[in-house]
Amino acid sequence: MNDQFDPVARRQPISGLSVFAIVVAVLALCVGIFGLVHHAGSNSEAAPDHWSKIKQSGMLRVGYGGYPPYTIVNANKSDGQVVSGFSVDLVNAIASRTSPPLKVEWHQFSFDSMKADLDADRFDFIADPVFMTVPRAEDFAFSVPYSYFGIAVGLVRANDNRFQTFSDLDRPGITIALAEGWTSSDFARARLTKPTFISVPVTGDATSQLDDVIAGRADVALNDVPSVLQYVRAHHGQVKALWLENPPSSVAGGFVMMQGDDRLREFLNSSIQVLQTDGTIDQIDKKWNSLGLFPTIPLQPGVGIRGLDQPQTRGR
Amino acid sequence: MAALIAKGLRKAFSDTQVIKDLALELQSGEVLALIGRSGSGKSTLLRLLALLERADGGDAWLGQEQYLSEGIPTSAPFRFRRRIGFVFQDHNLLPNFTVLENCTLGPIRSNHIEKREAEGDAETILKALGVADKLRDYPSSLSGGEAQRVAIARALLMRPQVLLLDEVTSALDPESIEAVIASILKIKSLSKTDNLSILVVTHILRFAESFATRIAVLDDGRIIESLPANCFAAEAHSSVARSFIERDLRGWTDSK
Amino acid sequence: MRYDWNFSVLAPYAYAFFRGTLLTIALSVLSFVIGTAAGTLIGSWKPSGVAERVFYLFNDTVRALPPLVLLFLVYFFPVRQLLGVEPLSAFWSSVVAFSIAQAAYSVDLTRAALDQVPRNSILAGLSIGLTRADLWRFVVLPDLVRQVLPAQIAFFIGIIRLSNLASIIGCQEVVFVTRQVSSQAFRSFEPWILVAAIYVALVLPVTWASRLIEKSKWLKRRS
Repeated sequence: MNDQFDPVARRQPISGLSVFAIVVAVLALCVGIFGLVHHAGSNSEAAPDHWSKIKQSGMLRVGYGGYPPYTIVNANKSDGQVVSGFSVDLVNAIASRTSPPLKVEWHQFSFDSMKADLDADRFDFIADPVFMTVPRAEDFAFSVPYSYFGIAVGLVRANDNRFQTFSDLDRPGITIALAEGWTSSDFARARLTKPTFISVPVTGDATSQLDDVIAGRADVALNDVPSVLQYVRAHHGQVKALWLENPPSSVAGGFVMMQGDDRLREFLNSSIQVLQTDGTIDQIDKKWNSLGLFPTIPLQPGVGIRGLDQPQTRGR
Repeated sequence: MAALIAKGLRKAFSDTQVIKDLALELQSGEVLALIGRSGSGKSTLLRLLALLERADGGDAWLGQEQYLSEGIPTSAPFRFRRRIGFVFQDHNLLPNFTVLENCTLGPIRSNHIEKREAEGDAETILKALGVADKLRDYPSSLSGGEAQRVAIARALLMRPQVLLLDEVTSALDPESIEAVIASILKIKSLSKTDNLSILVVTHILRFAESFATRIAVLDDGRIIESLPANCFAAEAHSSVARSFIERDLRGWTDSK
Repeated sequence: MRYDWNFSVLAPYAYAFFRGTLLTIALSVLSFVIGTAAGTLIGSWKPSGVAERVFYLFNDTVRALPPLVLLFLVYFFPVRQLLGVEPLSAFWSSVVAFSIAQAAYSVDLTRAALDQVPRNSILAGLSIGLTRADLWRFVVLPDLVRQVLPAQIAFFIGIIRLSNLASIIGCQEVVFVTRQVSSQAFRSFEPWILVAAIYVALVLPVTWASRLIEKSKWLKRRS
C-alpha cells in the first residue's frame, strides 16, 4: 500500500514491496534455471526403474481408467474398494504372491493424458487392458497380453437386418460411426472403402459414439466386444450386436508402463504367465464373465510320463 | 501570536503559475476573509495550506511548528491536517456514512476521542446548526444547505486550531445561503478551542465585512492588499478590491 | 424412434453425485477466495517506472492463457524433476490454476476500481486527519468493494462453470462423476441432464443474490 492517494506524502524511491517482489522473482528464476541445468546434465537419459522403488516401499502404484468389466470404477466409494474388476483381481493376485506381499495403491487417470501421467510418474503401470498397437509400442512398454479382444463388432438398431457379415458393410449409402483414434476405427478405415464414416471424438468410453445409432446419425457403429456388448445390455430392445462371436479381427491387451522400465516389465510378464499356467486367470475370467478372448495352453503329457515302467537310473 | 504563517508559496498547474511567491499570516483568534476574482487561486491556496495539494515551493508553520519546508511537506502530514479544519465548497461528506458517522469519524480515529463523547459533541453542534433531525440520514438525502452545515460541524468537531472555509456558499441556492451564513457566524461560539483562527474565502463582500476581522485581496497568485474589515470599503485601493466594493454597493450579491 | 428415458440408472450413483457437487463447490470457493485475495492485494500496489511495465507484462501474459492451458501447465509441471517435491494432486493443481486465473482478473479489476475512487472522498478523509491506514479502511475499501462486487460475483459464477475443466485431469468434481456414470451405465443423456440441473441449482441463487445486491441502497451509496 503506497501513497497513490495522498497528494502530499513523499514517494520513496523504491518501496519495500517492490524490493521484495524483485527478490522473489529473481530467486524463482534462479531455482528454475538451476533445476533445468541440473536436470539436463544428470540422469534424464537413465531408464526409469520403478522396481527398486517398489521393493523398497513395498507399494505398487497402479493406474486405472475405467473399462468394465476389467476396471470398474466404484463411483460411490472413495477409499478402499474404489475399483474392482478383472484387471484389479489380476493385479491383486500378483501383488499377494510376492514375498513379502506388496500393497497396491490405485490411481485414477483419464485416457487422453495417459502418456503424460505415466511420464509424470503418477503410477508405476496401468492395469487396464490397453490395446496393443504398433504406434503405442513406440511410446510405451507393454507386458505380455493377458487377454485378447474382438474388434470391429457391429451395433445396429434392433430391427435392422441388412448386414450379416463384416464385408456386408462395404457398400455406398451406409453411414458408420467410429470412435476417433480407437483400434476398431483404424481397422474399419483400412478394410472398408465405400461407406461414409462419422468420426466421433471420445475419451474414456465409447458411449457417445454408440449413441449415434439410436440417434439416427449412423446406420452402424463399430467398436470392441466389451463396449458393444455392455451397451446393448444397457439399451435392451433398441439395439443389437452383430458378429460378436466371430469378430473380423482382434487385438491383444496388456499392462502398460514407461519405456525402458525393464525390471518391472519382466516381473509382470513372468507373473502373467504363471497365473495363466496355474489357471488363476481362468478363475478370474469365470468370476467376471469377461468379454475377452483367452488363449488356452494345451498341455500334452511328455513322453516320459507315459513311457517306461522301470525307474530311470540317475545319470552319471 | 500567529496561528498560521506561510512564506514564498508557489504552485503551478501544467504551464500556469497559479500561486506566485505568496506570503500570509493568520493571527491567533482572528478571522481573515480572502476575496479575489475567479481563477485567482483562492481554493488552491487553501488546499496548499491544508496539505491537500502539493506545493512547488514555500514554507508554512502551524503555530511554532513548521510543516512545509521549501515545498517539502512533513513526513507525517496527518498530524497537521487534523489540526487544520477544512470545509469544502461541495460539502464532500463521505457518502457511505451517516451524518453522525461523518462527524465522529475524525474525532474517534484521528483524535482518539471516545465514541460516546464524540457522538455527544456531534449531537450538540448539529443541533445548534439546525440539522439535528438528520443524524442518521445519509448525505444523499440532504439538501445542499443542510449538507454544508454538516460539513461545518464535521470540521469543527475536530477541534482544530485553524479553520479554512473554501467558498462554502458558492454551490448553494439563495435560500440555503442564509442558513449556512448563520451557521458560520456561530462558529466562534461553538468552537471548543480558545482563539480559533479562521480563514474564509468568499466573494460576498457584505458577509466578509460582517464576519471577518481582516480582509485580504488575492490577485494573480499574490496577496496584494490586506486591511482591517471595518475600514476596508473606505481604504482599499487595488482595482480588484474596488470592483468588489462597487458591485457590493450596487447590490450584486452573488457574482464571481 | 423414441429415446427410452431411464433415470433410475442414476439412483445407485446418488452419493457419488453428491460428493462430486461438494467437490465442485469446494474447488470453486477455494479458487475464488485465494485468487481474489491475492489479486486484490497485488492490484493495490501501484508500481512506477520500470516496475510498472514488468508488472503489466506479467499480468497480461497470464490473462492471455486459456484456463485449460493454465491447468495443464500447473498439473504437468515437472516439480519432481526440478524441485524434488511430490506433485500436487488434481484437486490442488486445479485450485492453483484457477486461483492464478482469478488473481489476474482481480488485479485488473482492483487497479481500475482504485483509480475510480472519488478524489473528493479522499480529500475529505485527508482533511479530517486520517492516517494512510484509516484512509484505506474507511474511504478506499468501502468504495472499492462497492465497485468490484458485481464484477467479482460474475467471476465467481464463471469459476463455478470453469471448474468442470478439472475433470480432464482427473479431479473428481461433478462433471467427472457424470462422465464416469455415463461410461459405467452406458447412457449418455440422463446423467448430463442431472448435472445440468445441479449447475443450475448452484448458479441461479448466486445470480439472484447478485441482482439483489446491485439494486440495493448499500451499493448505490458511492457518491
